Amino acid sequence: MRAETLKGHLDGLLLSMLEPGPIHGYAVIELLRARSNGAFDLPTGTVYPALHRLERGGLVRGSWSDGPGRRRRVYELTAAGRAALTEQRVSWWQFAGAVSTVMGGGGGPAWTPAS
Amino acid sequence: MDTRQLTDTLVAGVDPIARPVVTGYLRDLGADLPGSRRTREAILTEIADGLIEQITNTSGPDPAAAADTAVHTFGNPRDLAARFARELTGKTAHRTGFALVGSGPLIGTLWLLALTNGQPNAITVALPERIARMLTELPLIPVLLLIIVPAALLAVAGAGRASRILPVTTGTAGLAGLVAGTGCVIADVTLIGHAVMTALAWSPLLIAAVTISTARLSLAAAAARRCAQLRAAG
Repeated sequence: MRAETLKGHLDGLLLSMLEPGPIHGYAVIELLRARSNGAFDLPTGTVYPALHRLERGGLVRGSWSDGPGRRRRVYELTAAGRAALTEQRVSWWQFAGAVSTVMGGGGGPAWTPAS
Repeated sequence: MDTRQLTDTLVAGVDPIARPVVTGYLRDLGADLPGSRRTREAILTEIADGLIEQITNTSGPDPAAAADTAVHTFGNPRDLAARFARELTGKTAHRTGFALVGSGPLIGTLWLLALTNGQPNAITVALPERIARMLTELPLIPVLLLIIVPAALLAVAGAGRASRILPVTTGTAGLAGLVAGTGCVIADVTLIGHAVMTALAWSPLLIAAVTISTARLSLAAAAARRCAQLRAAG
């Protein structure tokens, strides 16, 4: 899937990759590819600046880990990032549900907000 | 450490056959990256880590081909540098705006006290009257404040919580940082010039005001220049 198609959803996708815990930039790309069964094979060059954008907005926090190998920049969600992820999830399901309803096919996501 | 030394260090663990490709990519990226040396080093270190990870994960017997594939997925180094420049513009504008908004009232108060304490009956004059006197003597200052304060607040929205609320692009924030920084330089030059030209008695307060304004003048000029450079690079 092209990066253009994902425009507008990239932030939510990246935030959800960071939800389980802190990971480095390349692991975010790998995880996104794996979880989407290869559908979201983003150009690597778009993901690193996007992570920096999320950091600039205070949604993720970047830090350096000095392990036994090379230095790595690791990202983790902030409290504001978790709140933004929840908000984007709700927004996405509402949008996806509405599109499925309009376009038909009966395969709409069965989801109701938790709250 | 310059870019050449840094890239050599970063790719030390890469297969010697793949190394020239990675080194070349990082050097091209380093040449186009704006910002301070520390910032450039941080970005190059992060990108080198990603490239090495990708090469390691690429299956195939040819390390040079794996390196070619890796740099291809990272895209044109100039485009990548421009994307980072936009992020750096927002962060720099935010810091500039924050510093100016934070230091402004303190420096303004210092100047107010320094310029009005020496006047006749200074002790008995109420604060609003002191402010009015100072602004009458320096009519350029209120005009500058009308520009600097909104620009600094707009620059703050280049990052952090404000950037999530206000629809301010990094380019706009960078421009606001440039305007606010330049405005502060003009304001500080005006205040220092006024103190020198009017041959005021050099009280400790006035010396403190001139010293702090001189320091802020340099910092504001540097910040404005950084905002302009980063904005141009993004």
